Amino acid sequence: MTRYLPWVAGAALVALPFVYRSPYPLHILIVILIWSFAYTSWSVMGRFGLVSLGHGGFMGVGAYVTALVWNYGHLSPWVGVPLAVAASAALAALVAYPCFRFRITGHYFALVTLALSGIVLQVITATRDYTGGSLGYTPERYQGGSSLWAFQFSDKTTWYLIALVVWAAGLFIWNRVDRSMLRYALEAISEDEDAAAATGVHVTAEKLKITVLSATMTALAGALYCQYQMFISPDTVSGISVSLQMVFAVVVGGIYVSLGPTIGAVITILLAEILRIGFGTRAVGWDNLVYGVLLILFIIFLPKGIVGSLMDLSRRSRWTSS
Amino acid sequence: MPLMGVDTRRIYLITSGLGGALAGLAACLLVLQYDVHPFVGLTFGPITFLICVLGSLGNFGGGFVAAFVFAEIISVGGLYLDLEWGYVFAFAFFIVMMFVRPEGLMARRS
Repeated sequence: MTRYLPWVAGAALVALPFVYRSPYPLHILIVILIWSFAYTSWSVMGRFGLVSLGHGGFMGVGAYVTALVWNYGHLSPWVGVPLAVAASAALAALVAYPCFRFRITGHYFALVTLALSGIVLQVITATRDYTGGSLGYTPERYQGGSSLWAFQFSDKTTWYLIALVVWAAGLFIWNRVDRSMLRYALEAISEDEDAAAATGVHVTAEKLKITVLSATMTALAGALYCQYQMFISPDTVSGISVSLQMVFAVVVGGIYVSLGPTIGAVITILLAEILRIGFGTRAVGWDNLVYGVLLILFIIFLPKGIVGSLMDLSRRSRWTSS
Repeated sequence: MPLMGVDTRRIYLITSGLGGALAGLAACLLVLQYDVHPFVGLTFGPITFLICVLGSLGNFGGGFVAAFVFAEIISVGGLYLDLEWGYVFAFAFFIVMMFVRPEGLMARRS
């Protein structure tokens, strides 16, 4: 039964937009799927103790390079997205390689990457003549509205399916990493770098691999977000706040389980949306307050995240029953 | 530590309280220079952290020197180019310094 569960759930998710076509919930679902993919790509490296706060920067590069290539280069996103992803991967390698080479780990790695996302945010804001600065930026609309070449679709169902495929690919990569030798190497590294190196693990290369993979996925999420929303601003796709948003959501959902980041995205985005609608204009800002308090409570009382705690609970009950 | 008769919980409470109080005092002084808005803390938080690490954690003089260097880079960069470029240079300086001297500017040799 449990073997077929992922396939049944997948089929249900694919069929959903053909049965239920209400635009607003569909929009929320698409946003959740795109962010889930971004959070999954963070947790690919975050679960090995490589806490990066630079993912806001990678996402910003992904989104802005795609939009700039389309507006100024008049090249299709089919060219722009690979360019954006390559730029982000290069940026990640440029910063991460010296970090790993000089053995900057733990808090120090988090801070170096924090500075990196600060740099990306400030560069986007500073080059406001080209990127629109903090006012945001819009890729030009294609005349026909929908076009595969321009990667712009006016139909939400199409976007839903695209986001679903990308999200599923993210989960697939997560699971592939989970089952690979890379995982064992990285777990050894996160326990003790010297011991790992002594057993023949190439510490720098393995860490660099996972970082570049993670940055690549994050940039793709940024590009997807840009193409879907058709509006990006430095605060929504880049910077320290986005990096922190990723960390919070993954911690709430569960960092060591493949569906954890997804659940984290569902909970944080639904919570923010419900609070926003519930409070409305009567109390602007209250939604953020409730959101913040809930995040603190989650982190203190469920350090393994919701999915992680649930799995612990079921495992414990299985032990006691057998 | 608890074995040596140190009440860890009490020490943590006092240090956290003191840290918050001093940050509040710093904010009172910053208000003289900056305008206040709900996101004002967010703009200082990360930079404060970076400066502390740059000047070696737990080193008072180091923190002072690092804050001075950081502020000068931001201001001088902002004087010749936009203010944002000042921040870019400061962050880049931090990253390079972490590669060159991960223990911070004023680390004591142990």
